[in-house]
Amino acid sequence: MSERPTVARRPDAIVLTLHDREIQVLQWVLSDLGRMLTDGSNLDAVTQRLFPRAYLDPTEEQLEAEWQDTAHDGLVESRLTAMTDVIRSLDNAVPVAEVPGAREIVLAEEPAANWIRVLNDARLAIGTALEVTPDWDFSALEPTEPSYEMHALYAWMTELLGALLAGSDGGW
Amino acid sequence: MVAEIGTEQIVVPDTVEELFGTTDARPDVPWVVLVWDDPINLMDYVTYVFQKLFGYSKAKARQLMLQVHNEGKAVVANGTREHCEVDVARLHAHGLWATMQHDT
Repeated sequence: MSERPTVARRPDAIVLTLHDREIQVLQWVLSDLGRMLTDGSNLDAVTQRLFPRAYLDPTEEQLEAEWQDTAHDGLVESRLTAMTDVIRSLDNAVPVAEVPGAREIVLAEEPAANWIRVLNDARLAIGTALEVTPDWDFSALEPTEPSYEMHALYAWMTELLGALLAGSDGGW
Repeated sequence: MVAEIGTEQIVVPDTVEELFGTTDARPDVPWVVLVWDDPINLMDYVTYVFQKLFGYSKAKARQLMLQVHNEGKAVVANGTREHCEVDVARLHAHGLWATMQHDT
């Protein structure tokens, strides 16, 4: 996961090039995220970060409960729909003839928006689990750190999300 | 409590909560939607979401993002409770930490 993600912009699409192992890792991450979203529990920090309270005021508990009843299932459903779209594009990635092990994904506006959203959800989940702070700096971590691999994944996904945001900047 | 009106006895609620239920029965004064700073969402991502959801210009969206980043929070929308609940749900769907409260 050490290579910088390759994202190119065409007038009507973003072209994302990933290596087979990067596709496999994303499929694993999204599969895990999907399980978490459909788990139904709301006890751990990651789930609470993905589904925060709407009403911060503790005297608004009744409104909060009503809002959760109304909104939660829709939020899960919309996240899963976007994730399904991203997983489908990973499954259908087209091999790049001149680069062994590389595959290309062409994203129009809506699929690109889904990718951005889903990658952000995955970063939220991993970053919350890693207890990332504002001064987080991957280059300062030692490879002997127990969660070094997860930090590396988080760093790579941060690069990928940044590249997709840059690619979608400037309109369609 | 029970009150008598003419020859009829009627039950009168003792409290406002009994009368209106436990839901917020206050007049629907304006509410505001706040987005809070967090250590994970990228600054460019927050700007992107503000543009996408609220149709703000890039300059306006970036200004709001910087307010979130520098001051810890920013008001990004306001309106009725129902309107704000929809906006909070849209922001949560995009992973932003958003809450709503009465406009003070």
